[in-house]
Amino acid sequence: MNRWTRRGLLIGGIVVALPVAAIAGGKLFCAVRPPKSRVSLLQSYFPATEATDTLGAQYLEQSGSSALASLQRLERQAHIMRAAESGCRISTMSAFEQACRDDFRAGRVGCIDGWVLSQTELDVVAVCGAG
Amino acid sequence: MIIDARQITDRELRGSIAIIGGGAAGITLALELGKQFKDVLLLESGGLDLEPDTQKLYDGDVIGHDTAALETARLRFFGGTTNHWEGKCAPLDAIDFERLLGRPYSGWPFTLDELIPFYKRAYSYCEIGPFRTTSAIVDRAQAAVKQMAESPDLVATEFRYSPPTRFGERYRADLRASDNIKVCLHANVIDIAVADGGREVASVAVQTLSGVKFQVKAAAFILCCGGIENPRILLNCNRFFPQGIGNQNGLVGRFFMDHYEVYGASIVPDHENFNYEPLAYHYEGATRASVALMNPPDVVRREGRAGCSVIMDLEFNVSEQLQKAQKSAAYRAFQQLARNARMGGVGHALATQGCTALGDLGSIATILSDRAMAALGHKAGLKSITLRLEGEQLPNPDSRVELIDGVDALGMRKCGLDWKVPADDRNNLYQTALTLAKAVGATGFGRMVMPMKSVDDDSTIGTSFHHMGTTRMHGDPKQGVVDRNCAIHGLANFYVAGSSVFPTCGRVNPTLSIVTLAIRLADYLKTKVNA
Repeated sequence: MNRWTRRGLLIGGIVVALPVAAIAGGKLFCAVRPPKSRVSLLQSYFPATEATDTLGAQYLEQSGSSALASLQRLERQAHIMRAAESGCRISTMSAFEQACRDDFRAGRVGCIDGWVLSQTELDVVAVCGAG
Repeated sequence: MIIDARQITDRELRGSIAIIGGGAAGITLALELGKQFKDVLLLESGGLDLEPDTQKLYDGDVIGHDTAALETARLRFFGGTTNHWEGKCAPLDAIDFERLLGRPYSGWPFTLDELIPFYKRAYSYCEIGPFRTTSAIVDRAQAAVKQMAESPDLVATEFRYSPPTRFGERYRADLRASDNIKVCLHANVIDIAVADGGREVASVAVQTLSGVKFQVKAAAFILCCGGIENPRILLNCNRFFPQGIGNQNGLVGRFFMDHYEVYGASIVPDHENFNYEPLAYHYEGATRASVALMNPPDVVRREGRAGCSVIMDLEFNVSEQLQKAQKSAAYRAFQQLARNARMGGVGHALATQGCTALGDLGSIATILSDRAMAALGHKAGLKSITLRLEGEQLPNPDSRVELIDGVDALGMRKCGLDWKVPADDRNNLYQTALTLAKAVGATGFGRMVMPMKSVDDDSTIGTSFHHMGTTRMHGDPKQGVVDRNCAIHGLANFYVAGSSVFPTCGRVNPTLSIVTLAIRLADYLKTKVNA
């Protein structure tokens, strides 16, 4: 029992608390802000342009939604994210186009400045443009 | 023969049948009735060409939804509004004649089948080739349509294009040569005299702008002055019936319909190697035909929607020089000459068109060389498909033509057009466009820009210059102005021809059906009126 000195307990506490704080802080950070790596990954396939910026901003304003909600929807599309993480541009674009076609078939569309776009496209411009 | 009312000295003209109005319906009726009757009178307000004083008689007010001024929306000279007709033709759809569940005022007193024999004859008057129940160009276009837009709620349909037939020019020689038909120009009907206790019309009073007046007596009268002027004349003639002729139930002028025309939509394709050829114009003999999209009958029934056509114009990536050449007057003249040649004639303006074409041979050479390159397999890429929606207006008693204060040069009260564009009709246009936008996205063909910002947006909805429904046909006098034979309810010898009798207007242009109904009425009168 006398092996646990005050210094030992303090160091042990710090050793345990630091990772817990790091994990909790990370979770908290991720909860309030999109993880930069995913956004960067998507942006590498769909680089922000004036058009995506404008469309993204209009979509967010019109829908009252957030870039985070769009990112979460995109993350749920596992086939797009898996393809993006694989680094294969062709697979990623193919998965993206398939998701857009599925959206149009299912009626998941939005109208921005007269253009009828799929929900996936709107999410991409929201994250990569205005996000 | 053709005479001028301004030269008439008699106080009275007599005929078996008097036709009031020399447009598509009036001229068709005259030609058909002239085959049996020896003294058919055709009273035309205008002359052989546009005259400003006569045209001004069409002046009136636009009260409701913004539309073209009444003075410019129609033409008041021989041939009527066919003088600025685009020429687009298709028969009404079978569903247009049906009485639909939950759709008040729908249905005709007969079916499409009853009109088919008359459509066959009308095709000839409108010079659009022989009548067919199938369409080769629609069959050819199916694969392209499927590649472009994937939806069971949009199907391909055909439109044919009349040269266009300017009825006043095209049939002038026949009418002039006929001993049985007397065309009387500059003859305005200003009053209708009712006799036999209000059961028949005895005569009509005619006056020219120069002040010549006379009576016209006939066994039967047919009013065919168009969807705005027909009710205006009936409402103005109120000596015997204070509320106007045929208006005992307050229906004359109500149920005004026009086809909604909405521009501003387009499809931008992703594919460069799309075979667009089947969607371009084609010629079957001398008849130009094109493919459009429409919402099929099951969508109309299932969703309670109205009919709608989507007209597609292909736009190509072309050089500035070629664009300029395509818009040149020389090329337009060359096209007209080529069209006349295909029809086996030279046209009446050969010299003018020839000189115009020769004045800018460079433009014609540019286009012909582009065509030659296309024939060799070098085709311009498809830039976009410009879309035009043409939607049916559902019958609505609040949409109407009514008399207003102020009179024209003949002392007849002017009329106002209170055109309504209700929410159901706007929704039909919006949903049709949205269906196409989704279908185009579902195939991955491209993306579409909508013509309307929302269902409530009526700013892009315009007129097609089709004035219909104001003396609607119905077996019950409480629901219609004319009966199934186009006779005004309660009057034994007074008929109405033209699109004002349409109870519903469908999605297609009305001229072919106007001519069809005129032939049907002529056949009926041949059995009804003694020669």
